[in-house]
Amino acid sequence: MKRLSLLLMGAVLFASSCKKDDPTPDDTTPTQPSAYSFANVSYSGQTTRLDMLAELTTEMKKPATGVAADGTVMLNMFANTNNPFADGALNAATKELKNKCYSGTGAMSETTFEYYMTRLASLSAAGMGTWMPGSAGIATSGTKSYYFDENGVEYAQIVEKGLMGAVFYFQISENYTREGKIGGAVDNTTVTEGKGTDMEHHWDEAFGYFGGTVDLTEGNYADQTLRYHAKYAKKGSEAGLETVGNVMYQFIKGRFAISNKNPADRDAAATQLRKEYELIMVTTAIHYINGSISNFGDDAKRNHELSEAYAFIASLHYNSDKLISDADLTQVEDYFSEDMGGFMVPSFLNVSVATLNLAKDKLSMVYGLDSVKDTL
Amino acid sequence: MRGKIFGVGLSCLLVLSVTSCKEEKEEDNNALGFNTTELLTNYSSNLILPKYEVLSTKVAILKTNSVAFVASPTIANLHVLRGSLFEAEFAYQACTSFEFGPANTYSLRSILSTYPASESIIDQNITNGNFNLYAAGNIAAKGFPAMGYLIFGSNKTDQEIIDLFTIDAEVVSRKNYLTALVEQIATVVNQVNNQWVSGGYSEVFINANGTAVGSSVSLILNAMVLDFERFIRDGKVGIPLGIRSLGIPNPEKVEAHYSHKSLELVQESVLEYKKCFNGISTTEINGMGVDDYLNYEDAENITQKINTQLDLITEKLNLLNGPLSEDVVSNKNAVKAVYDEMQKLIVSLKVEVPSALSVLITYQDSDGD
Repeated sequence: MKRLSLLLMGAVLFASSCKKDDPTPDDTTPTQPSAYSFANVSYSGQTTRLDMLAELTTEMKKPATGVAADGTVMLNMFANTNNPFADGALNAATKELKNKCYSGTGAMSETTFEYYMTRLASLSAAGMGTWMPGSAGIATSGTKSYYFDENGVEYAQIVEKGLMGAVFYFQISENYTREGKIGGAVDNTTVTEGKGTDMEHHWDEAFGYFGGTVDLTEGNYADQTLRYHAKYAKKGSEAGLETVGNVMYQFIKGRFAISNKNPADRDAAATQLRKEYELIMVTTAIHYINGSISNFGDDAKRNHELSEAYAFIASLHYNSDKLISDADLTQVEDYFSEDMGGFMVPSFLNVSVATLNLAKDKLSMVYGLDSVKDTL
Repeated sequence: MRGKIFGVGLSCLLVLSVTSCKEEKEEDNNALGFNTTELLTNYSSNLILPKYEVLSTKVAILKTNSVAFVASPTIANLHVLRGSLFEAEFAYQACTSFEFGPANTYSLRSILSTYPASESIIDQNITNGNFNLYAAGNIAAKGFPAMGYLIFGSNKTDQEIIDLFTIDAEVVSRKNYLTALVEQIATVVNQVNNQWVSGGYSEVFINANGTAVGSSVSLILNAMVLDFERFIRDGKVGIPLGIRSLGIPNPEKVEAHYSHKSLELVQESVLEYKKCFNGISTTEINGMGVDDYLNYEDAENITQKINTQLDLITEKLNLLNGPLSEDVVSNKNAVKAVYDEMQKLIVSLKVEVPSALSVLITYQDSDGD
């Protein structure tokens, strides 16, 4: 009964809404629901990893409160070894962030993140002074305090947002929306109670990494408890891009297509989902670049926002279909980086308002966001 | 709290966007409501443009006097230069609420007025003789505060300053640094001013009507509220008073620490804020302002409350002895009284005005980290 009424609601909404891909409804064709409401949806493994990243982030933010971060604890949390979590269920879980993390070259990998964790521990153990260009420490603005390295980089952000990219986005764009997980060879007939078919389950796992709610829509995002990318999708929606609605639409469309054995729609949704999801990275990056320009005179806010921007920009690497070219992406990253003997690391001391505007203009041009680049 | 919807107009928009398509989601141009074009024209023509022009003029004089001082570092020239630094800082107080559009693009505030200055970074730059004043790492080594450090110094006699520009080992480098500072100030002020005068931004500003995010009413209101909350209340008063440091005062964090003119500057900024709120031009003509918009929306009580509160803040400021760096230590309660009245104003500015005018205050980041 409940499902039926949801379906009906979906139909009503649809009838009065977008023309773009309105199927001709009749009595026998099931209608795509407006919410992620399907039988046998399960993504507890993803929720577990989202929770793990939350605890890891808490540990990484300790230096901002004057307490050193524990390197062993952070590394253990990353790999889920030696019961590092306060939440016992996470320790007991067979899941971990590390084995799902990007491990290749050309982008931040598990090694990079471990380096930041280790360095945060040693820096914060060595001292908790006030941050100055060239010396690591705490910077405060209003009620907010952050811990930066000597170049103004907030490792807590690089690792949190970076892992959102290197685990969540990477898994969605390179694993769960690809042939190996939703292609013709994957079982889409045998239903396991509570988990659906293998293919359904794979798609649900992609959805689980998003951090949204099953009822999330463009209209209600302000009232939903959102995490990670779902939370940042709001930046685009607030600027009128309907990012939240577009991402949700593709998630729903893909699951609906899989459950209704419609491979064409499934593949179209997979491709379009990656495009819409990529825009979360870009809109959020531009949002934080704007913030860092507005707050340029405020060490705490500027460095914090630059750290966020850098991590979202760096996340663009984790989708092999990304719209931006490698050359353009490198150019944008270089505005936020310094050459440290052969490899580029984030460094924000030589950033200027002019270079930030160049980075912003390049991103907005590549992604066709010129009309909203100042609103984001 | 970003995303919280105030007012009927925006709620309607939101409902529309749920049930309809992009095509139908049109901005409310207030076609039948308040004439925001007239308001924006008044702000552009009678406040922003003339105030930037005054600032440009004062900065040009500052530059001339700096050139003269560098050429001939006498006590007389030093005093002239100091006087023009104060006049430029004073003129800037009338512009701080306009940190959007060109001012935001060129980051006017961060270049002119990031304080306190970092003496160590400035000294280091002078010693190295190699610096990029636009780099984030030099944010506390430029603008009016850095100039103040160079031409007033910390507890230095006039002769000691003159010595630094005549017989010190780093005379050349110090002179170059002073010149670079004033050049940067002049460059950025001109860039911003030119965008308004001839770069087409006035038209963009006047044409972006309505009250949605990105409209000029939204830009100016956000800039005004941010200015008062973060830069007038916190920057000029709260932080030096120790509001953010467990009540321990930070006298060195006042705005014009080296010239001891902080009190005059905050007094001027509150007076200018009131003019800005009421749309009063540089020639004292009371044009269409935020006050009129509130009155149109039947919120005269909010207008009145804000004006009364601004007057009260001025009254409390007038009770201080100055310089502010001493008041925050020896006259704390009187400074706290200023802060408390400023705090009361924030509620009106940040909650009541946006609600009455259906404008979102968007500058606060919503992610809470």
